[in-house]
Amino acid sequence: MKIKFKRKEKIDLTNSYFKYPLPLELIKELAKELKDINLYPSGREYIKLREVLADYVGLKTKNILPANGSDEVIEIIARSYQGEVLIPIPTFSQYEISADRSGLPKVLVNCLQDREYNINYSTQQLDKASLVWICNPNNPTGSEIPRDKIIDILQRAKGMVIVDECNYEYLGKTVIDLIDKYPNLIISRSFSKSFGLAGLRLGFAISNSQNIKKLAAFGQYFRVNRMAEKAAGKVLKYLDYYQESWKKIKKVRDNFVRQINELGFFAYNSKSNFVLVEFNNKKETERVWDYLKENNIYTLPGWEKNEFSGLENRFIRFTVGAEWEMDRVAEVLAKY
Amino acid sequence: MKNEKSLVRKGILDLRPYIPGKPIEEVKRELGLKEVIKLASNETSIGPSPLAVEAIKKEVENINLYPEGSSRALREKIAHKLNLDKEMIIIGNGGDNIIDLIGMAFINEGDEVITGEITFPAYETITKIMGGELISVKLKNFRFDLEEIIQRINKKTKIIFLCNPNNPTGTIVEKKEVADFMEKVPPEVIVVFDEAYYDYVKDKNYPDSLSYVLEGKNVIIIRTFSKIAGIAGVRVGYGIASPELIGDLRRVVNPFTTNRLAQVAALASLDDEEHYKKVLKSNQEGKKYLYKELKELGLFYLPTEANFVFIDLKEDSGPIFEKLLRKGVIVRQGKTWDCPNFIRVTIGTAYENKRFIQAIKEVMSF
Repeated sequence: MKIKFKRKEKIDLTNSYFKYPLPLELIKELAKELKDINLYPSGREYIKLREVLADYVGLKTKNILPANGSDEVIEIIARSYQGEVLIPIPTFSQYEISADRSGLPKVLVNCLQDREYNINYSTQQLDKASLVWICNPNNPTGSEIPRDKIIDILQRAKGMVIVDECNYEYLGKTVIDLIDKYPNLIISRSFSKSFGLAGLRLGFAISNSQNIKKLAAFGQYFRVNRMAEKAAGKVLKYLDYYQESWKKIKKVRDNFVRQINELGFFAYNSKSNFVLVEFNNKKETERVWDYLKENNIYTLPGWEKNEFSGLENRFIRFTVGAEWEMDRVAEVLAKY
Repeated sequence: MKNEKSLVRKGILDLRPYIPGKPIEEVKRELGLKEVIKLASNETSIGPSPLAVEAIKKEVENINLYPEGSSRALREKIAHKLNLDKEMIIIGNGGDNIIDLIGMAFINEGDEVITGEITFPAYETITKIMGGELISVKLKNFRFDLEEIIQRINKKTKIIFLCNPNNPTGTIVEKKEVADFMEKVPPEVIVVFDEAYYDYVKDKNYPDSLSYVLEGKNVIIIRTFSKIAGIAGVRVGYGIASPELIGDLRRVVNPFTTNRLAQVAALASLDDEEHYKKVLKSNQEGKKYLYKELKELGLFYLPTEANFVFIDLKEDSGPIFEKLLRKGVIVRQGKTWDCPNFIRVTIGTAYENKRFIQAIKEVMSF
């Protein structure tokens, strides 16, 4: 299948959603599923959805809990446990926001040093915390958290360790095979970033069956809408198309990192579908951000608290768009 | 690992996951039936608003984009219809989501929440999750007993949930008694009017809960697009309250809780007056028909202000439920609410109502 883009003047690289067009056939199929929209989400379809997701990740249905987006997975976890929360900053904002919303005390641990993102939780911290967050690949740095590191944390942590793999499809590495070995492991996945269902809201939690049962008390079936229930199975029929898209996105991403670094800025190597660029200071960042906006290029700056926890002001995150979009960004930045 | 009891919130350990009613597909397969009608979940039998369906069809091609977080356009439209400020509206992933938000925003451990003994179970679920205590007040003549609720208010009382019309009884609390009640409720207690079935009400004594919001009382109203608009499948409901209370709810809402399709479908359904009238007409006719037939059969039922009827079979409804199922008619058993002799039947299309009456004649001895 050929990937085609509609050219638009405005280049929106803010939210990190799947920016490629969905297969036309898929859209047609989804539009056909509307005759029963007057009915509540179906328990039967929900079971089927769990089967589809279990099949996709190679586990059993009892290991899967679908939710209204992976944001809801994060929320269900924060609502289901009590005690201190460890958050490896800079990272995705919802771990902190969900802790605040649930009234859980939080400890933000700085993990970015000398332009390297390394999760360095101390034994003391891991002894005390009830929830330990890991975002892999990390948002916004795009860094991969090595498997050894995750296992080390799983072994030392006294609380639950949650690995947010919402951008898994770009990294291609997972720890879901460890759920039976480590009863304190929960993984979160999404259909927003790699499959283009952000507007439909579908995410899911993966863990051992005892943990899933507990999370299910809060994550009830009717929270996943009828369209989302049916969409996962349809989307996964087009896995070839998506895989090709991910390959393309990664190629464009790596090329963008190279271009930006050649221009004398510092772009982080990314294993995700976005690239973090570091500038000298807040002033310069503001100037660049404004300059990009003037050129109709929209990006997320470090001061965007809805998206980032503990990201300093000198950063801008660029979602990886089409090749022509990223070339255009590089071209505009070259003239800065 | 830490001791599980210290790790998991107490409310979660006590909860049983919700078991949904039997879906049509499953009943068909299990019993080898060709046609099954579902009168179990108070959905709109005559289907969704056609305008909503068209809107969804158009929107499907944008589903790779995140939804607009606060559903601004929908808030504006609802606010405009009700002549309110849009800051007095919050949109959620179904009316259930608004109930949860209320619980998450206001219930602390040890707080008391009062509701009726026979009502929608979601109030109890969120109260337990949040570590609150649920005070269930017995109904009086199958209606919320507002006088008794007043008696049960104490310093720990945080929220009173009034389901009006009440699910599953279909009864309402009336204007005058609500006025008395609102006089007596301490100002710091939040009164929630769950008006999921608001559109179906015909009784002139139905209270104008919005007037209490406008007076500045701590009142939250919940309404939904799942019932009369016929789009339960996409999940969208909303809350109405003062900008301050809505602000509190917005603090606990998930950033993208209401999906794109739900937002456009709800917007379109607000323009679909034809569908709205059609659903109401069908419900009125169905109600009349069921009343007449049930009377003839000598079955006791509660006159309803909603789109369902609560019927007393004067015997255990379990076996009758099973027999109805075998006839291809799914209803809801009263045991959900500890009313084992009752069934709750959604008012369906004329054809569905006839099928139900025919089936009940066949499975019960009259």
